[in-house]
Amino acid sequence: MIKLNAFFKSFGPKKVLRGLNLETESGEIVTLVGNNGSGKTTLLRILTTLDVPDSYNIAEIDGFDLSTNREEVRSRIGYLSHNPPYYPELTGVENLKFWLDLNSIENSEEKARNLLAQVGLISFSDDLSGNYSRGMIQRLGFSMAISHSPTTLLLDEPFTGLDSEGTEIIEELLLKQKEDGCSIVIVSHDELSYSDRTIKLERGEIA
Amino acid sequence: MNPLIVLIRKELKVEFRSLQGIVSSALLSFMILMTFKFSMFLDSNFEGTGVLWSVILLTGLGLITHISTRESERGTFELLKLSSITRYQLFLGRMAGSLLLLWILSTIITILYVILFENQFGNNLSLAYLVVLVGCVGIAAVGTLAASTATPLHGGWMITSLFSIPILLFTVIEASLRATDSLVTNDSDFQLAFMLLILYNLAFVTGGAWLSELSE
Repeated sequence: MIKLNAFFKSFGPKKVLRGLNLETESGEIVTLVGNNGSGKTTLLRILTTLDVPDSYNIAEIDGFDLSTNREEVRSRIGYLSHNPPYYPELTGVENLKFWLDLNSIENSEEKARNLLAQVGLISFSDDLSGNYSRGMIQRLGFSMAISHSPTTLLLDEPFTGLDSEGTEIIEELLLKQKEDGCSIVIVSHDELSYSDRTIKLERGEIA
Repeated sequence: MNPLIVLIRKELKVEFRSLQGIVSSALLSFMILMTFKFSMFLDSNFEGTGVLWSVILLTGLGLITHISTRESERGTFELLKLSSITRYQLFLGRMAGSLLLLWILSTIITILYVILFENQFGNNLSLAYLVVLVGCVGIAAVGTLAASTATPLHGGWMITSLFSIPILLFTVIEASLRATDSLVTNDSDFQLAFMLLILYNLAFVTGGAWLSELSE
C-alpha cells in the first residue's frame, strides 16, 4: 500500500512533482497516465528509493517511510523499469537466480525456472540473455520484479515490446498478483480495462 | 547464500564470459611495461619497483572503472541498489569482485615484470608477490568507491582516476613501493612498510563501507 501526502520533487529549477497526494489499497491496480515529462517515471523511481523526494508530509509503503526505512521499502517493492536491466553474459535463469540469491530467497534455481515458465521463457532459460529479443527481456524483467513476492508492484510501461501472447501472459500474472493482495501501479500511455483506477498526471499534479 | 559471494560469482561469470576487462587491461599493462623497458631504461641501471606499481595502479584503476561503467551503462547498478542488502554489503561485494579480477591482472603484470626486467627480487619473489596482492586491496577499495560515485556522471572514468590516484599514491602505493623496494635492496624497512600497507587497506575498506552506508 502506498501513501503519499504533499509530495514534492524538483530537478534544479524544474518542479517535477508538486504536492502530490496518492493512496493505493492492497489488491488495487492503479494506472498512471500522462504526457511525456508529467512526472510519472520520477514518481515511480522515488517510490523505489532510487531517487529522493525534496519534501513530503507522508511518503510510505506498507507504513514504512521512504527516507528512513529504505531497506524495508526495497524488500517490499517489485520494480520494472522502462528498459529492464540484465546481464547479457548470463543466461535467463542465471539472471533471475542472481537476483533471488541477492535477496536471500531460498531454492533460487527451482524458483527461477518456475518464474521463467510462468512468463513463457522456459525453453530459453539456458540461453544467454544477450541473445533475447526486446519482448523476452521485458518478460525476464517482469519475472524479476515479481520474484521476491513484493507487496507493491511498480511497472513503467510494462507492455513495451511485447507481442500479443506476451501481453496476455503479463496481464494474467498481474491479475494473479492483484488477487494475492499486491498493490500495483502501472505507468502507461493507454488506459487499461482491468485497472481499478486511472490517475492522470499533468505537470506533476493529479489532474 | 551470502550476498558477497553472490556478487563475486556474478562479477567473475560476467568477466570470464566477456573477457572485456582483463584482456584489454593485461594488454595495456604489457604495452606500458614494454615502453618502460625499451625507452626509459635503455642505458641505465635502476633499482626500485616504481614501474611495477605505476602499471598496477594505472591499469588496475582502468579495470575497476571498466567494471563500474559496465554496470552503470546497462542499468544493472540500479538493479543492485534495488536489492534488499545493506549498502556496505553492496560495496564490499562489488569491491571483492573487482579485487579478484585485480589479483588476476596484477599476477599477469608481476610475471611480465619479472620476465622483462629480470628478477630483481631474487629469493624474495614470493614476498614481493604477497605485497602486490595486499596492495591491490587498497586499490580495489578506493577505486570501487570512486567509480561507484563517478561512473554515472559524464567523464566518470576520468573523475575516478583524478580522485583515486592522489589518494592512493601517497598511501597504498607509497607503502607498497617501500615494501617491494626493501625486498630488492634487502633493507630492514620491509616489516614497517608492510604493516603500514595493511593499516592503509583497513582504513580504506572500512572507510569505503562506512561512506557507502552513509550515502543511504
